[in-house]
Amino acid sequence: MTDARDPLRARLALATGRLAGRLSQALGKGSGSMIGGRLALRVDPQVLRAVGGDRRSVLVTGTNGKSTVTALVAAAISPGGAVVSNTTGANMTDGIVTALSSDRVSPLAALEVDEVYLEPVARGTRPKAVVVLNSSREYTRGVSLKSTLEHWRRTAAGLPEDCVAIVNVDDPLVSWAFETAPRRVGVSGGLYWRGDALICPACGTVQDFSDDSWSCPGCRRSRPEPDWKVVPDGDGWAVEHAGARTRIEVTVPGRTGPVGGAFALAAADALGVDVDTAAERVSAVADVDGRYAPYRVGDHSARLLMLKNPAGWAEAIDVVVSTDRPLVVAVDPFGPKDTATMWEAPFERLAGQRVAVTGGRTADAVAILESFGADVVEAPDLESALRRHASGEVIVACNYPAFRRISKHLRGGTR
Amino acid sequence: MSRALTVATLFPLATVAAADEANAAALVRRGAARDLTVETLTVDRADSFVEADVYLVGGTGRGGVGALVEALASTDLAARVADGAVLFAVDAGLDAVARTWVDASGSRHEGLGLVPVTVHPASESTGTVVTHPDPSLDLPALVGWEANDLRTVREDGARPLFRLEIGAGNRTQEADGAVAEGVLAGSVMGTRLHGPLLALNPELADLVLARATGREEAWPTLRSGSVERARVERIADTRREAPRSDWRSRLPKPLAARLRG
Repeated sequence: MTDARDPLRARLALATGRLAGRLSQALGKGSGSMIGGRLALRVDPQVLRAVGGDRRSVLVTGTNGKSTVTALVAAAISPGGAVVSNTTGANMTDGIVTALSSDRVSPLAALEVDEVYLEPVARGTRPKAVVVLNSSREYTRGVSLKSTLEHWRRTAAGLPEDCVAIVNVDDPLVSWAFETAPRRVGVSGGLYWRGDALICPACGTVQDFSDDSWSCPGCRRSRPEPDWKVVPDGDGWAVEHAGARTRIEVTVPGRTGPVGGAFALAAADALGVDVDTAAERVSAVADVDGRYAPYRVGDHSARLLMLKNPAGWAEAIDVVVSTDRPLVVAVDPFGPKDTATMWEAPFERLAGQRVAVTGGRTADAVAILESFGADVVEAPDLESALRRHASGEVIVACNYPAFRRISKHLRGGTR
Repeated sequence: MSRALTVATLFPLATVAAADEANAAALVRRGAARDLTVETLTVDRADSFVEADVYLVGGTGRGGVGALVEALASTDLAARVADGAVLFAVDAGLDAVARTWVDASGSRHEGLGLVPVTVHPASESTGTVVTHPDPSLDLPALVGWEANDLRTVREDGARPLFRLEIGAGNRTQEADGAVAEGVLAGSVMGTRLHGPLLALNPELADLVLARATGREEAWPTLRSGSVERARVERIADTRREAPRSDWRSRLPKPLAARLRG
């Protein structure tokens, strides 16, 4: 959609992008969400500023949990859906251009941003808040963690004066990278994966970790006091902020849900939304892209998790341990790296525990889990894997293709 | 009495992760099975460098090799390797310890010179790799993956670490027509193969441990049933898919090059 107020070059860029997107769809090459934005950016590199306009934007970045927290932020900041969001997960500059140009009216935006595109997206959208969830290494990128952190630090220093950086202070890497932000709010979001944060990013000294904090003996940095803190509350969770405690109900299992909720509340607060109202809206989110609502399978209730890196697996293992739920691991073939990330995850936390394994890469999962001392049983399909556990809720930890296959299969069944 | 070994992972933050991080844990596990106590630690700045028996440096480079060379040069790694410490260098790690590496623009850079290798830019190659068994190193067919756009030229008659059944490897012309992969020179093992290579292939972990402890004779056989089964399955998958993944090689060369571009 073009707008009469757009500069001529931006209008031309958007028209080109729209045409390309339609062509791409018509040719069956995909949703057209990337190619359109990419061409528009070719024609006018400033097009993001034009389509961003003067709406109030929240950017969400980090290695894991971006889609979920973006959905929670979108809910928290707006009741009626007057918020544009890149819900397809196209989270690089081109996908964001496409998302924003498809809706020029909504006064709010909640945007998931790929870690390494934060600077151009922040420059183009001039956000009111940037949510930074965590930082760990991934295999698919040609970028080292160190250069991503440096990129973030530069970006943070250049954020608009009225932009609030909402950062996970439990993650020393994130905390360091956003030291330079003009305004900073800390969320205690937990750190499941210390493997990439053992060394202080500022001075290279090995850090001291306690259960819920960290400090560096070299440069004396330590975890900043969080402004928002997730705490257990009876049988559920609450967020403590400014002396008040707000109960939060999110369907996402384990601590992941309330932590995502805390980020969403902090973002809503930064945009002037009442915290209790935001908490109600966040609690009303039943599901994100079919990821979290439990599926009923016979006597079992299956909660699917999709994991793509060691930090993600570490978080899934934490969900299993902290909620005392049984685990099914489902992994399918996905090229040479399909199960590699699992070798780095702390499966020793499940030593002696029964884990049922299914999927096209069962042999790999068995090898990994047995190396860490788990009691592994194999199953030909999800249903029989679930039956290896007592009835009730089961965590089903999947790699990407297994998640796609199983959620499609279960959606066809009862929900 | 069990012997103690120290394994140090060097500068992991400076490289791009490629699942090589699990290699240290694999040495701990295999060491325990071989009655060796293996301690692991991470070095990310020069003054925390330690005297270790095994050094691991890995990940992919993508422009970060210069920084890695600089970081490694500021440590005593070269002296430790000269003293016989084992260096297991993967991909960007291999570039950094090579004599020379040539970047994509054609500029030559000096590496640490710990292995007689020069690295040149080449076309991109990614995929699962299967090695030929090597009785001289007591290795069966191994599995790993490659993802690089480099030609790895060995000098001074240095031998490759592996010969490949499937995979592009070093992209060198070998006299016997074999596909060579990596380099084995003194106590340095250099390879392009990623994955938790030592976890996927416990026999390779054995080789590292044997070299680190100065063991000459072969280890007693130690089966690792589930790891072996996973490897056998993946090798079978890779063999099945190999001809299909290589359809470009059947096209005329200029066309194939353009498709790769």
